[in-house]
Amino acid sequence: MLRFEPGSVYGDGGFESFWVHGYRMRVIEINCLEVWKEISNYLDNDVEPELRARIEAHFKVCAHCTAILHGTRNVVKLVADGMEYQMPEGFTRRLYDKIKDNDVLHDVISE
Amino acid sequence: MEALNASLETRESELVQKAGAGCREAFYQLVQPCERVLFASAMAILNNGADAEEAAQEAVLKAFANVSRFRGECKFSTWITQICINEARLKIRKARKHLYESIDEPENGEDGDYFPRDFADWREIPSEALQRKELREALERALASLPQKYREVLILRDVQHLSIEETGQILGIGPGNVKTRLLRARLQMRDALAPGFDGTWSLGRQEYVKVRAW
Repeated sequence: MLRFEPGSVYGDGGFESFWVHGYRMRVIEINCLEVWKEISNYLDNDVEPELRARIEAHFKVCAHCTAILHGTRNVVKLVADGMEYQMPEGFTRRLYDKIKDNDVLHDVISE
Repeated sequence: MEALNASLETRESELVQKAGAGCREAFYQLVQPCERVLFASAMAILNNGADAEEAAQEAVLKAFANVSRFRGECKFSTWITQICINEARLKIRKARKHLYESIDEPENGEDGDYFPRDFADWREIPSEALQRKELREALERALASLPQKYREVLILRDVQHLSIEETGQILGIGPGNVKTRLLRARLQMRDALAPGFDGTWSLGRQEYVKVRAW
């Protein structure tokens, strides 16, 4: 994972940058709309390193997008923790009984 | 890990064979680990426990009747979840037929950009807060407010934690579409929940900070 190290990476021209195989990669800005489009992939760790660096550089200076990032991350977590649907009482048993006793199945199978 | 996967696959294909020959016990062993995802995926469409159970049961019976056609091109769980999604969709279409006006979602293009409506920053809502009834209800309402196609993806990805590939297989859409729908679903959930978090959810002062610079 690429990480910015404050102090060491701010360089010429005011660009943020990071190093790959000894080459300094400058991070070119992207706008809010582009960040929103990728925010879900970003949370899933599913963006290329270069884009990731741009997005992170954007978050550093944009409170709105940072707010959206936090909110969206929170939603993902809340949905995961909170939406585990309670299966109706007896669901498992009734499903098992269906498989065991259903006559329709008998017909299908004995065909 | 690969060896384990391979042996699980062998075990699955053995069970499939037995089930195809009519062995109910073998079939049940295949179905049992899928119960939760079957119920959840039906819920994503039907939003009602009793209907979702019925759809899951019908899907299971259909799967048993057709198990000999399952060729192992995907995981058994993927295959049976596909069937369950189809059952649930049939059910909801039947239910909607009686309505005068179509309540199908307006087709907003997949590619259109979605603009977040709210820029409030509510970064720390602890999951313990879920024990509070209001938050759970707000979540359920937000989820119910999503168009069905976004809800399906959200449930499979963020509740059932299926991969993008599996989610796409189950819903019959490509990975790019899964990602687009997931983005929409998450952003809309955020918008739907954000107003509810107007300070009222926070347990402490730092947890909700409004950021509305424009």
